[in-house]
Amino acid sequence: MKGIILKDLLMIKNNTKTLLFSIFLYMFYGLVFNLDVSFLLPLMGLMASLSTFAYDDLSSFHIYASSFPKGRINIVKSKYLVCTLITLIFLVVSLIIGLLLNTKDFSIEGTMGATCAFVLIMSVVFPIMFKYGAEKGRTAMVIVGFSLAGVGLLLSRVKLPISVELVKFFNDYGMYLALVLVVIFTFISYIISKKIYLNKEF
Amino acid sequence: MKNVIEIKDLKKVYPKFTLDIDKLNIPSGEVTGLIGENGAGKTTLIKLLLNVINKSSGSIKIFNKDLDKEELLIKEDIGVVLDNTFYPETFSPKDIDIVMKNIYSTWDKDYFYKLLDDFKITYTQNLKTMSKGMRKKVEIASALAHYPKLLILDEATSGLDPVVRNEILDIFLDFIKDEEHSILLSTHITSELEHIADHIIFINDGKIVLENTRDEILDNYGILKCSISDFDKVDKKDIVSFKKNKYNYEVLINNMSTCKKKYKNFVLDKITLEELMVLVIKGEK
Repeated sequence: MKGIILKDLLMIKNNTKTLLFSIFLYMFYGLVFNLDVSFLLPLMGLMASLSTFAYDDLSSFHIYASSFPKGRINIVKSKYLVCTLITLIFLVVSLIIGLLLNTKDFSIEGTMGATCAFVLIMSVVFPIMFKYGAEKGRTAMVIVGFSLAGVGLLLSRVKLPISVELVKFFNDYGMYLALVLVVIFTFISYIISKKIYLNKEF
Repeated sequence: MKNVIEIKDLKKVYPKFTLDIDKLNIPSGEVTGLIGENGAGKTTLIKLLLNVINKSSGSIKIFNKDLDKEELLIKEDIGVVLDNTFYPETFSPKDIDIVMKNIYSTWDKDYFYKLLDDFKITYTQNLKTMSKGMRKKVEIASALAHYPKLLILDEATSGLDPVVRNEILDIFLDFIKDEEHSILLSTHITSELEHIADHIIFINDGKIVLENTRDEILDNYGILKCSISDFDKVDKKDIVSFKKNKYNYEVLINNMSTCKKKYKNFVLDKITLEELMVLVIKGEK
């Protein structure tokens, strides 16, 4: 599996310039406009790991890798591990930069919450990527992302009868709940992707 | 080991195509050529051997091991070069080495770089800046550097110029030299197989229509050329298939020595694999 993980990391490494440029942009906008854009970096990390699907599709690497010992299962494991690793790295970098810049709306909870939301979207998108390829996966990501944003917007406008206790509960434990949800969703997503990819025909 | 690959009752059913092989043994220590027109089932067979697609029924044994049960062990000993499937174009041979040494337990870094040196390929050059021939050489080097016992090659030399093609064929001949190794080579360029293949498998419409040693095929099959009026004099039992041209008939026969004696006044030519393919596929029966 190490080989396939290295392959994905090398592909991301080839895009280092773009990623470094995005970090620079993030710092620039944060400083100049005193805006919190810390959520963008984890999103960049996710997008970088998603780009490995597109490169694989382009070179038909899936077929080639299927000839490797344990090729298929290692591809699935690698995509999830690399995505988790890259997202975590970008989250940490984003938090460090956020704390250093200390922009107006920055909060650790806000950045982590946004990252959790992105990972939840990815957990839906990954099995689609494995089943239908990067192109359709990207379309699915846009649809899922906008749908979630729409639901969120709708809920914020509707005055739901939420008790004070419930609000306190979410304030105190919301982050932990989000992290548990991320772990559960990612695990279920991995199981589905594994099943799809092991039976996939190229 | 007598056969490197043993196939029994293999079926792969698609809505509009079925690959159906009752029995096929690919001998060990030889170059086996797989021929057939586009869509005949060559790539489907190769994909089944690599478990890239799932078979509908039947069994495949490679190195005398069941592919379903011992896939991991089998794949350690297989090297592949497939048509248009490899690493992303942003990769260099150096990147490929980093990845492959963590995939194959037998990966030999020094041998990989030695092969690249022999091919005059720079380690750090991206695949996207390489010519098709150079890229193919990198693919072959990466297929050989983990010392496979079996090389599976699907159109490995298509689109290459004759010089590079010959270089690559020499590499294959070198690989097969010790008779411990085997090659299964699928190609449209049948003239290649006339030079290097020991064994030929001809697939048409999902079925094996001919399987024999190259020498047996090229010695026994021939083309009998005769005028339209003489065609009726040819014994129907001798005709495998025939093609009617404007002024003559081309008749495919498979008993050259008998026909030489039988049809002394006819023109009887040796056959090429390409002519054989055309007459079997397009000829009338």
